[in-house]
Amino acid sequence: MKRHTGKQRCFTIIFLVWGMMLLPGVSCLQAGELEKINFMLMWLPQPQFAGFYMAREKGIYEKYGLDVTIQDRGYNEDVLTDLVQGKSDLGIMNLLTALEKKAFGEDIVNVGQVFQRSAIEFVARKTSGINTPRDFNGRKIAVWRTVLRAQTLGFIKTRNISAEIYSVDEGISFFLKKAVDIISVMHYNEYNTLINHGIDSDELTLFRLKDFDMDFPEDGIYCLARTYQADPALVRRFVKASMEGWEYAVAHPDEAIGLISRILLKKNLICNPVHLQWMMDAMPEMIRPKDPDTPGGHLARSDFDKAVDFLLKTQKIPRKVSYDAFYVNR
Amino acid sequence: MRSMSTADNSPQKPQSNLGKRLLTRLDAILAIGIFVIAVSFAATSIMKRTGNPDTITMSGSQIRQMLKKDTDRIDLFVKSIQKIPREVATILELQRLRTEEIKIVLEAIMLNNSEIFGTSVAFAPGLSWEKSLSWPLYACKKDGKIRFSALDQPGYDYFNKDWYLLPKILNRPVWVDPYFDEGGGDVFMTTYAVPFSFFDGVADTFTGVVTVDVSIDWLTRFFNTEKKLPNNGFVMLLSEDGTVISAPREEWEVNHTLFSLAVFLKLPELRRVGRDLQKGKSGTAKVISPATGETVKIFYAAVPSNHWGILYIIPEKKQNSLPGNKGG
Repeated sequence: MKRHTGKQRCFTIIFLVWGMMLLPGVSCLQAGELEKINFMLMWLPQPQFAGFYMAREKGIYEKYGLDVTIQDRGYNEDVLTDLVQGKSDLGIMNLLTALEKKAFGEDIVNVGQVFQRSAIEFVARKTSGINTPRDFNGRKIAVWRTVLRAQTLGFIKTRNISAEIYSVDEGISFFLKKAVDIISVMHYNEYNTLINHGIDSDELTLFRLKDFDMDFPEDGIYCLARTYQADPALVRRFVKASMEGWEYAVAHPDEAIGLISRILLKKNLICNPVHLQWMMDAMPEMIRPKDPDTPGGHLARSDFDKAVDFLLKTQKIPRKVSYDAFYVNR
Repeated sequence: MRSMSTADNSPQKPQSNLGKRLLTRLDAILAIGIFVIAVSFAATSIMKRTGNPDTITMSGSQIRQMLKKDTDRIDLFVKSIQKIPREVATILELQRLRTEEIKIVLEAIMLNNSEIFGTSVAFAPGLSWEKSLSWPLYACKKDGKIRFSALDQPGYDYFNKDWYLLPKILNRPVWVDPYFDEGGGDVFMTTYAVPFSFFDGVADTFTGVVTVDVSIDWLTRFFNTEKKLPNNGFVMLLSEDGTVISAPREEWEVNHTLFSLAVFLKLPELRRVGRDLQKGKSGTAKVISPATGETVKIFYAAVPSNHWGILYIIPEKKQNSLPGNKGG
């Protein structure tokens, strides 16, 4: 047997240790060395955030050397406030909302675009005779009070619709009880809540924003520019781990639903397995890039330009936002 | 005062000036006091009339009879609840009660009606006649005591809540679908909310809302889901929008609607039943469960005063477990 010299043995050991550190799936950090990240969702726990929950549950964050705390919120405050106040390091925001904040001087950056398309739509009863956006005139419309207003009110504004607008937390009851004629919904969420309250799909007319040249990507991962600049590698690791979590979640929807159910029940929140299934079924389409050659989690330049043009047209922002200054994690 | 027999969903009517002069403030408080005591007696007597049959062999007509009795009992209960905020709303349209007087009224409601979890008077922003009423005055039961609070926590924004905005837009009383009242009662509840307005001699102006809350826990106990039905059949109580209020399985309550259960239990006929109930209809349906191959009979009836729904779901053969169980 050939014997190693002391120098050779030393090199071999160093090489083996270095090799082990590179092995995928093997954490190179001890539990105590995980870097802490507080991550804020823009809403309550639901399959809309399945990838992040699965990344935590399956140890994907840990594999990337991260100890991630997922925080959730209700209706009233925005994620940006938490970022600015240092309560969270990163958070989920809607693209148009983030662009507005950026245009008005908030120093936030997009580090990953999770949802690649829009699921926002207006819904009306067929019996109400609302067949085109023109028929919105003179009607009662419920829109979300604190979120997605650039899209909902932008749709109304660009079509010069004159209607009675009600800003509500959740508009479902308003529509079910016929307090309003039209309501804004997410196709993967509130639309199915209507179905689960007895309205048949063929009784509804849908105005899907994506069919009106408003297919803007939605949920993205954001942080303050200074957070990114302080440790770009850390932020990149978080985004990579999160997207891996998403891959796992869409490949194992039942596991994701089970996990989210447990979280909802623990928090005393409504947990309807049929609805969770509907939402989870919609997720693969939401995260699938429009261009098959583009990797998941990327904010396409064409989508960005379209969103900025829309915000300028609806006078939601005073000036253009630079793609390079906004989307930094490429 | 508004007639007790006013149709439940009728819009608010302007009051005559003569009528408004008839009640002094003292009369108003006295009237409410007598009223809430009367209602509490009525509610207690309704609660005592449960009468579940012990037998599990029943004919179709016996089951229908039992369902009718149940529906009448819930209808009486709903009406007794509805009267309370309706009368308070009427008083507020006639009298500018002071904060302390409103507190007395709310306290009387809570003391004399064990079925009520909470009650509030919420003025439209800027329309209250006392500064202390700028936020809804809320009384509810916590730790066995009646506690008062002003719903003025940052971010609560009561004027965007369903219980405030729905009766305002619809200009009629509304039963709000079950919800978890975070920052208010902090329990799952359903709320009956009645708008009130101020008549300035020319027109009515919406002025606020009076509410009463009933906790889902209380409703479940009152409804009594442990009725003995043939073949281990079970009963359910639904809201107007189809949300399960009471069911033999706690995890269905508030989480499921009858329409989602139609999918969950693989009983698509439940969807048609739910639609019938929303229209105020009653009837029966016979379905074959694709999960078990068993025939299941459904007897259902709508509660006349608020279109809540009551269902008896009875398998043709005796079941050892409820639908939703593995193999059940």
